[in-house]
Amino acid sequence: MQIFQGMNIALRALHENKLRTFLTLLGNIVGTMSVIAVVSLIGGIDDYVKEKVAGEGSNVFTIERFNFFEAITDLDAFLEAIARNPRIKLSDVEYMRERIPSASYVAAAASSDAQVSYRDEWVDRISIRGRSEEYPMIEDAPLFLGRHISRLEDQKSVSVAVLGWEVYTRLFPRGDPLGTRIKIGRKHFTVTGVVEDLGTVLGESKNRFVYIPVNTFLKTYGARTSIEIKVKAADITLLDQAVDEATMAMRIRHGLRPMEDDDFAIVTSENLISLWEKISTSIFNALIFIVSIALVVGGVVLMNVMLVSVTERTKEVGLRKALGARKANIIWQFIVESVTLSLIGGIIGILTGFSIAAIISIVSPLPYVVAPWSIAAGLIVTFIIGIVFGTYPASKAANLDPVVALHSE
Amino acid sequence: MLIKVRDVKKIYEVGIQKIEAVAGIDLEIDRNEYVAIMGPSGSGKSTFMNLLGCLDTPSAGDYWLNGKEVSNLSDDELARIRNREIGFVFQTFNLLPRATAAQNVELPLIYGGISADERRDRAAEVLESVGLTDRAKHRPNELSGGQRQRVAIARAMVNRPSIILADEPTGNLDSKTGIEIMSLFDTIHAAGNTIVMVTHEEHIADYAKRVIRLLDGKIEEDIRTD
Ligand SMILES: Nc1ncnc2c1ncn2[C@@H]1O[C@H](COP(=O)(O)OP(=O)(O)OP(=O)(O)O)[C@@H](O)[C@H]1O
Ligand SMILES: [Mg+2]
Repeated sequence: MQIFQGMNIALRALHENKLRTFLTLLGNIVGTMSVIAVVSLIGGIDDYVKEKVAGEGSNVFTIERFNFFEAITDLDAFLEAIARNPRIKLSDVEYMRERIPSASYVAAAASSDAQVSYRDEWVDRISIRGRSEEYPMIEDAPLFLGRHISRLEDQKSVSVAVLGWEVYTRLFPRGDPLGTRIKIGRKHFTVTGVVEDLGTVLGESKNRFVYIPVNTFLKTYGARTSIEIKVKAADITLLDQAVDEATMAMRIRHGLRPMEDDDFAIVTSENLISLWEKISTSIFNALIFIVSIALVVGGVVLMNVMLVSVTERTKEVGLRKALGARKANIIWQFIVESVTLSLIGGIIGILTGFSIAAIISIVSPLPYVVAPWSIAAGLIVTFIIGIVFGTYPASKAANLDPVVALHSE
Repeated sequence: MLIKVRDVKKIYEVGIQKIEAVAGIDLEIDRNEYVAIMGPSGSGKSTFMNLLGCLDTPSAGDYWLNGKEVSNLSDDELARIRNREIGFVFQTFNLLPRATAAQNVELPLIYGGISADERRDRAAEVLESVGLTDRAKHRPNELSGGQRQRVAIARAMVNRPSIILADEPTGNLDSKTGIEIMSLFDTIHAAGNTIVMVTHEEHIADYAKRVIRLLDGKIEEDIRTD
C-alpha cells in the first residue's frame, strides 16, 4: 500500500512537471544511456572481432611494419615505430621463405581500395588484394569458376584478377567473366577466376574483393608500399615456434643487436584478440569514470529535488506524524518516491541507450548486441542511487518536529 | 482517570530568554468529559494541547494517559500513542489535498497497520456517522469548509481514540457552520467519547461541560457547567 502510494506521488510529480522531472533525471538518463549504448556496441564489436579473426585461421600470423592497434593502446610506441621501422619489401618475403621451418606457407600480401568496373557497371570501395601465389592455402578462397593466380603470372606481373562474389555478380549479372577484361581503377585486368560466395559476417559482406598478383599490385600502387608477410604454421601446435623463428629471422635480416627492440610487428589472431580486449577494457574504464560522474551529479540533483519536495510537504509530514506515522514510515515514503524517480530515469536511459546503439548499427557497419546484464546493471545502479541520495532528504523529513512541521506554511 | 497531569511545564529557550509557555499545570480529566480550554492569546493553550496530544514532551512534570506514563517516551513510542489514543482536529483541517475524503480518513489506520478491507469498512462507517457518505470520493477542494472539518473529525474518530483534541475547530468556519460542527461534537460526546477543545469564543465554550481558563501558562479557573 505504502509502496504504491510513494510510487503514485512520484509518478504524479513526474506528470505534473515533466520538464523539471526530466532535468532532475538527466544525470541518471545520460549515465545509463551511455552504459547501455557503449556496452551494446562493444559487445557487438567483440563478436565481430572474434568472428573475423577466427575466420582467418588461428594458425596464420602476419609480419607487418607496425601494429595499427598500437596507435590506440600505446601511441608513443606507435609513433616511434612509424619513424623507425623499415618498410617490408618483397625481397624480405623471399628471405623469410627459407627461414621459418615450422611454417607450411609464407606469402606476400598488400591491400588497397579501388573502384572495379566492366563496361557500364562498376562497384566502389573494393578491397584490392595483391598476393603471391600461396594465398589460396592461407586464406579462405574456394573457387567458383576458373583458376587462381599462378606463380608465373606473379613473377611476370601479369594483369590478371580473381573476383570476389559480389564483384562478380555486380559486374557480370549474366554471362561468363573468364577471359574478360575488367578495369581496376584505370588499369585493365583479365579475369581468371571467381571465388565462391563467402557470405556475410555480422552484416558485412565478405565478398567485396579482387585478388591480383602482388608484383602487379606493387607496379600499380607503387613499389614503395609496405607489404605484409603472411605465415601459416604447419600446425596450430607449431604456431609459437613459427612466431619465434620468424622473429629471429626478421631481427637477423634487419641486423638488430640483442638489446634492441623489434622494428617490425608480428600479429597473431591471439594477440589481435588480446589487443582488442585491452582497447575495450580501456573504453570501459573511461566509460565507468564518465558514467560515475554523470550518476553522482544526477544523484545530487535528485537529492536536491527531494529536499525541495520535503520542504514543500513539511506540513504534510507533520500531519502524518500527528496521525501516528513513525520515523520509518516517513523515511519509507520518501525513499520510495526517490527510488521511483531514479528508476524512471534509469528506464528512460536504458531505452534511449538501446535506441542509440540500434541507430548507430543501422547507419554504420558496427553491430550491436543486447547484453541482459547491462539492463540489470542500469536498473540496480539507479535503484541504489535512489536509495543513497534519497536517504538524506528522507531522514530530514523523518526527524522533523511534528509541532513545528504542523505549523509551517 | 483518563488524563492525569502533575506540575507539567514547557519552557522554550529563545536566545538567552526563557519562555514558560506552560508554567506548571495540574489537571485530571475523566473519561467522557467534554472540556473547553480558554484564555487570551499566548496563554499557552496550544502548547498545552500539544503536550496532551503527545506531539511534544514536557520540560518538567509527569503525564499519565490511560494509566500509562507518557512524559518520557521515545519519538516512535509517542507516534504509537498518538495513533491509538488520540484523535486530532485542527483549525485548518489539515487534509491531504490530493487524497479523497475516504483516503484521508483511512490515513491513521494505515499507520495502525490495519488491513485494506477493514480500513475501507471503517472509513465508510465514520464518514456515514458525520453524514458524508456521498462525499467519500471527493477531494478536499471539492468540499465546503464545514464538510472538510467533518472529514477531519471522521479521521480523528476512525481509530476509536481515548480522547479527541480539537484546537480551535471552528476558528476557520462561519458561525452557522461552527454551530453545525459543535452539534456534531455533542453527538460524539453523547456516544461516550472524551473531548478537549481550545476556543476563543464563549458561545462555543458553552457546548462543553467544563471550562478551564489559562493565563500565562497556568490554570486561572476550572469550572464545571453541567
Ligand atoms: N516553538 C516555540 N518557541 C518559542 N516560544 C514559543 C514556541 N511556541 C510557543 N511559544 C510561546 O509560548 C507561548 C504560548 O504559546 P501558545 O501557542 O501555546 O499560545 P496560545 O494560547 O495557543 O495562543 P493563541 O490563542 O494565539 O493560539 C507564547 O508566548 C508563544 O510565543
Ligand atoms: Mg493556539
